[in-house]
Amino acid sequence: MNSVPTASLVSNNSVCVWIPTFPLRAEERRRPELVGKPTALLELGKTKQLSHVSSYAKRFGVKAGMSVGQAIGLCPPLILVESDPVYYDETFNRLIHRLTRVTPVIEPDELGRVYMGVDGTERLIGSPKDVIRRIDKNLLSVWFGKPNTKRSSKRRWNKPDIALQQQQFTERHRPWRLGWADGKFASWVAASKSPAGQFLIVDKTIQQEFLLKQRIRVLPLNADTHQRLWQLGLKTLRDVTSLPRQSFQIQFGKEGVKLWDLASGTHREPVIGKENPEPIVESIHLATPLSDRSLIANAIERLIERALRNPRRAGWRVRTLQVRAELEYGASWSLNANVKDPSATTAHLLAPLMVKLDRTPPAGGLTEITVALTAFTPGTKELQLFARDSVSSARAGRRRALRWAVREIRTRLSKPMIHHIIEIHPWSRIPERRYALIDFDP
Amino acid sequence: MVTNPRTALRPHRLRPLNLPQKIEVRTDTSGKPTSIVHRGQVRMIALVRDEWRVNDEWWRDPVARRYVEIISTDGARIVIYEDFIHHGWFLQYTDTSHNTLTNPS
Repeated sequence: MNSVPTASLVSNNSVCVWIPTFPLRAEERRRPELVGKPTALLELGKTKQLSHVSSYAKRFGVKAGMSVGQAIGLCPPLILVESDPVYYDETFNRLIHRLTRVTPVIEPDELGRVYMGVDGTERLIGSPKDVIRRIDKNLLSVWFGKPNTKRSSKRRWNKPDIALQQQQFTERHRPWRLGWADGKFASWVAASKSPAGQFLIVDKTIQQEFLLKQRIRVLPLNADTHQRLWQLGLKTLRDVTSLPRQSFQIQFGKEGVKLWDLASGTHREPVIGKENPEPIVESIHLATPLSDRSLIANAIERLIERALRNPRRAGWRVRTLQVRAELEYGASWSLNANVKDPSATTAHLLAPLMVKLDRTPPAGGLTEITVALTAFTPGTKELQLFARDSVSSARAGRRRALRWAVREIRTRLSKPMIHHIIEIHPWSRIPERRYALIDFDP
Repeated sequence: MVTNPRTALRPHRLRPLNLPQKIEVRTDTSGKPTSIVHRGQVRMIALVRDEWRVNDEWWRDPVARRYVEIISTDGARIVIYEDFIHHGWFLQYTDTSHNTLTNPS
């Protein structure tokens, strides 16, 4: 949908919600038996490389990017999980959607990282701690399925406000880290400095000092620039800002200027939210007035189909839709429908309209019919609609088809008889050590 | 193809492919295979195409094998090996386009 920022959707105060290795955390959410075990995700589309590795597996020396053969050699009990990007997108979208209950200014950055504009929330909710607690509560309700009823001890929450506040949530394991600061970068640094399940609030008065103490790895650097800075002996942001801005510009160009500004705290990027989707409207002018019920139904169906095909609708389900029509002799007629279960399929959207059409038929022939999709819900049960682009749409569609096929096979044979061949030691001279099968569970 | 092991499935369990299967091999006086018996089925060997040795992984689970690639009288290409550690003959691979044996997995 359109994402034109408006003044009301810009916020300087930012809360960064960060869930490191989000795909792995999402898998653990789906399969709690994986928690605390050496787990690795297979690279999407490649069955021989690991994309994400759990901290437990890292203790064995397993790293992301490693081949399955190497990883199994280092960590024999390693559990391999196939990537399910559609599920990760879905989970992340659900989190984002839920966070709009706290603030409408939401700016997703990457999978597992989202910035929330919190200007003005203090008036509505209370102190930054209260806002953070509200965010945490909403995240909990999506992640664990129900709101957290446990509270931290009052003694802890009622500590006098200090410039840098670091608090621990309850004992329940939360994968997210929250950081509050002025601007996106500082809030991200605060979140990254906060241990899992905790938050860090950086007051404006000490924000600059807080940033200067950080290591250069918090900067958005590519590996090459990072190495160059390291070789120049620049290890903290203080080291960076101790050099003139101009020298950075000479050495690293535009990127260098941006890095210097971020490090010194002079560049504070605000959070820019996205507007709610605009209605999608499709209409048809009829040369001959329509009065037959089946012909009207057919015309509405075609218009819904056309509206659903609008690229602005990708990633959204329709919650409400409206049919308006101009009648002969200047009168008009309209129908509104709220879809109980938001959908993106024509049949689902058409059904409630047809019931209303039968109850309140138009009083004359229709000369122009307009269908407007007016309210939307992000994410969808129809997997391909999660897609942000055509590639992920196709990927989601394939996943969906595979899931159906696997489900059918499992129903018929009582076992998931589909496996994936992965390379273990493809170069091995011993044939049985070259490849292996893992259960295919899309 | 991979045969169903009929064992309870566990998620993400690794199952090695091409696991060798124990077979009986009759050899001539020079040690060359003349026939193989697999699951009670006897197949005569028409030709020994190739032979090679694999000695590997002496540092953990030593492997010492003599591989023989043979062509059976019905035209199937079969790879068998003699295991010098566990003593015996094993079927490693059969060409599915010709064989009537089951490919071990």
